[in-house]
Amino acid sequence: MDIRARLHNKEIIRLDGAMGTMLQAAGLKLGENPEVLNITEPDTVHKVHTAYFAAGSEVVYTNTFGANAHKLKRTGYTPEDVIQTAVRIAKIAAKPYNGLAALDIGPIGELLEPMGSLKFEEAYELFAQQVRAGAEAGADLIAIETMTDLYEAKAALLAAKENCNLPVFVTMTFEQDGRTFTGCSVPAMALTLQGLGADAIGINCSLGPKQIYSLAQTLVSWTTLPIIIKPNAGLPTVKDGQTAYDLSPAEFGRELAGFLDLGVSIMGGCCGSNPEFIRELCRNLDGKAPDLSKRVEKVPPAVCSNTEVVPIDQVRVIGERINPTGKKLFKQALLNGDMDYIVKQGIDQAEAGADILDVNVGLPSIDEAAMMARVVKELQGAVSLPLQIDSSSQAAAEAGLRYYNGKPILNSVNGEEAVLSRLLPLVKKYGCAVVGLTLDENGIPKKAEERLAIAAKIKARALEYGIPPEDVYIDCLTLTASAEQESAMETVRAVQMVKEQLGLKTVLGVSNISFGLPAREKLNQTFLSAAMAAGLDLPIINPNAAPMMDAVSSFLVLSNADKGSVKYIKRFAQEGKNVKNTPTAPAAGYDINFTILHGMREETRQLCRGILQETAPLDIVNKVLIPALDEVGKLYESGKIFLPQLIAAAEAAKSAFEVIRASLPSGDKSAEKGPIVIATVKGDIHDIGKNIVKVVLENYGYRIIDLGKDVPVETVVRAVEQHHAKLVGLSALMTTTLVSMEQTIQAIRKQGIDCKIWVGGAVLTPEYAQQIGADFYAKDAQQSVAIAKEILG
Amino acid sequence: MRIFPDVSLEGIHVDKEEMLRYLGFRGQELDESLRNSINRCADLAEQAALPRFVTAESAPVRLLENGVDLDGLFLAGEDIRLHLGQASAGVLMGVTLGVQMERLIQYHRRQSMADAVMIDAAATALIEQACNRIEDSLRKLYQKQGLDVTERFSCGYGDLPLETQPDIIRVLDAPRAIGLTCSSSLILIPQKSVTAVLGVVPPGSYRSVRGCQSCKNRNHCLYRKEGVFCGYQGQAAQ
Repeated sequence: MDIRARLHNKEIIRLDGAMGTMLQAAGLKLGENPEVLNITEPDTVHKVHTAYFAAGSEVVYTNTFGANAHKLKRTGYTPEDVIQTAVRIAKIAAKPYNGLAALDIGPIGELLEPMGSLKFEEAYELFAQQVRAGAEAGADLIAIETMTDLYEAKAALLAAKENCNLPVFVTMTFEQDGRTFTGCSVPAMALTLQGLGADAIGINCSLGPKQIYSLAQTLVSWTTLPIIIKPNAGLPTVKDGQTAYDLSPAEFGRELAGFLDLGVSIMGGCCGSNPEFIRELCRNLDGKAPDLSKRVEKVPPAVCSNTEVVPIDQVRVIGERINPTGKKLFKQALLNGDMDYIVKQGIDQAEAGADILDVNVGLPSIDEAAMMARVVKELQGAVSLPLQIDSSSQAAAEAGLRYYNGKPILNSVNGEEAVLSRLLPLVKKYGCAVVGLTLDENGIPKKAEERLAIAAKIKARALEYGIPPEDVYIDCLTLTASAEQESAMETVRAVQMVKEQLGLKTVLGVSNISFGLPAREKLNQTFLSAAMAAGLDLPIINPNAAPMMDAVSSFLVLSNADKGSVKYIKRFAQEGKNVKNTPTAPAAGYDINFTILHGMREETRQLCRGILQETAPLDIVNKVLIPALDEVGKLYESGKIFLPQLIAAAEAAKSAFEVIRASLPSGDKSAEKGPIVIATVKGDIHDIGKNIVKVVLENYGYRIIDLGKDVPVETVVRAVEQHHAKLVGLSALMTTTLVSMEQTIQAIRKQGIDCKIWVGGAVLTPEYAQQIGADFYAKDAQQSVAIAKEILG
Repeated sequence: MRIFPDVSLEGIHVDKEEMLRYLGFRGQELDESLRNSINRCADLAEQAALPRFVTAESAPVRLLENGVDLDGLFLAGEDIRLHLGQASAGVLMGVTLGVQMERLIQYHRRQSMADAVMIDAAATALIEQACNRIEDSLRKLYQKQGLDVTERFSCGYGDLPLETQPDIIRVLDAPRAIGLTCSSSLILIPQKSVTAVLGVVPPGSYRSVRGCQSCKNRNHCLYRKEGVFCGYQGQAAQ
């Protein structure tokens, strides 16, 4: 069977049914490793395959669902042992039927970072090992199935594509609400997996055919690939004291064959199905063909995270704030590795209404690729907006695209041949959208026509690499009006021409227009409006600047995108209220001690601004803030206030510190003590205690290098050395991760670093802290402050 | 064998008192803005929660010298041996609020750590409530058959080692059934999740093993240090 031709023509391909169900019927116990049977009972496995072929399957999945090194760890077998045997068994069974053996790859069984602790790279390696073993043993294709985490599916698909040349099927498992357990939606799956080069995608397990039907209806409008549906034999119930599924083989076959009407072409069964189900399916498929008229010819232009799809069907705002250019605090955050600050920039923009976030972390003194990977991972753990990976470094760009969980945008390529041939293969490989700047070896052309010509070239070169036009977004480039006034409207004209003549989406960094002129926002707003009217789809702006978002919100009404002006009305109705409620001056009678104690952040900030008029910054810190915090600390220790109040007070004080820090000249670190390195140790992902300690310590003016959670021993040692930290705080919440804490302490000591170490966490005791070599034990954040004062003053 | 007790986890609400207890609340004065924050955070947790559970019955129960064998699943320790001493079968349960709770907490902690801590406590209160509902429905299910179930017993209670966690996850097929996994350092992920074992017993034949002695936090509990009972059945405030 020529599988590639069958796939290309979207011909029907009949898969097998459940393996686990069959093995359980043959005596396998719940919780036993079914993969071991390939070696211990090859005949049993062979019989299952043969029964499916005899029932009409053309492709069977090998008995290797859990054959990864993690799941096999305790069986004494390697993935190679199991997989090579399993493929051989399936091939032998396939031969008389001229059938095919698909290497089955299921989830690893551990959740990936940032929610879990399994690294993307580790997941990739586990899958790559399976793929290599399967390909070597002669598998005909790769079938990645039952994925619930898009990130894991991506790791598996990349591993398949980079380690063999076989066709790759990928199916994920959805719940009735149309999402997987980790929140991935059907369109997000389709956009991401088609982009990454899967040969067929779809849905398996989870539900019966009836429940999957509406999910499949969604799927057909988001992909041009052949679609696989491999449902359970209905929904699970208990029948005569046994778990059973509620469909008969005849019902199953009839319902599943109904998917032909949607243009679905590849079908089989999952849990609860057996050869009878497949026989009925094949009988119902006989003489029929999928209705391909239901299939879309193009994937709708869109980008996505794992949970959120942003179709580029109206103006969508790309937030520009994750970028160090001209930002003192952001640069400092990059140097300190302060992920909380960077993620906060993303969250603030999301709150302000951004649809997509640009991510630029380029700074000469840092490893940009490593930083890009880290920031992308951190952002996607907290913010659901799709990202635009923005870098001129190829390594950083690739890191961003590789570690992104979804379909991102790459910013950017341009008309230079060298750039195109370097970056377009990456765009193709990772299936992202790409921004093309209308400049080339000769710089930025003056006339709109010339910029159009470059855009046309970028479109054509992209097509040669197999990148569809709907994934190419053209940036016609904004020039500064104060320097090149005549070109402002040329840019607008170019936007219009690219839209009309090339049919491409357009993107534009807007704020540059007003550089060097007063009242920049007014000019920005007018330019943005002009560009949107000319067809700009994706303005790159600061969403925190209300006038810009006002313009976008207004334009969405005028362009008939905001139906019934619903969002517009909501935005401005709310704004009216906010204005009324926001006090213009601090309420009379409050002093800063009161506002800190009551966790009133905004009031504290304003009061601090007032005090700063008369008092030296350092005096405020030493004579106002620290005494106020000490008072809060005492109230906490004596039980007068409890944890949320302690933290809220610390956060209020932090807003005062921000005012003070901003008032100091750049480079003046007199208000700063430390640094202190803190981390939740390797293996542990409970970071709440460490984060509380961080907030409280920061407000005593300590500079905190927060390494995050699940931090490898070497990372801690390196950070302590690099930042010359005199104090290190380690946290662990599990008895199982105290071992990592001890190892981390030992590694720091072994390095001979002159620093003190304090530890904390629910399962620790002062005695145990001493036993593992820590200098101090802190029972809570307040005690951590006492320790920091003792060591650092 | 999977079993399907008649229970819905929809619309579970945060028990505010319990939420406050997790935050170390001991009757301090709550001003209006703090009250509002508590309510807001409880609402956020309720909205983000996507509770799911899986339950399975396992038999036979074989008492061994050093623990219990539950149809091939070995549960080590004297405490579980006592707990299942009268049991004719074991029931395993896994419950989770879903991974979006983590994302919610990670999102809010960048804006307000105080909110994040309150959401975290609210989520803990929610998962406990989900467990209670499931436990009650299991009890009803078995009472209909003239039997009863013991209270739930989790890894880390008494001397039942955390190392059992991956085995329970595997037997329940929990990753596939409800998206519940266990990391290599034995942490349940999503974090707001619980697994437990209950015994199916003749009515009235079990004795409660709950309270501080069975709590994994008994040596570190802030309430206990002050000679107060936390009121919570199973795990004390950290």
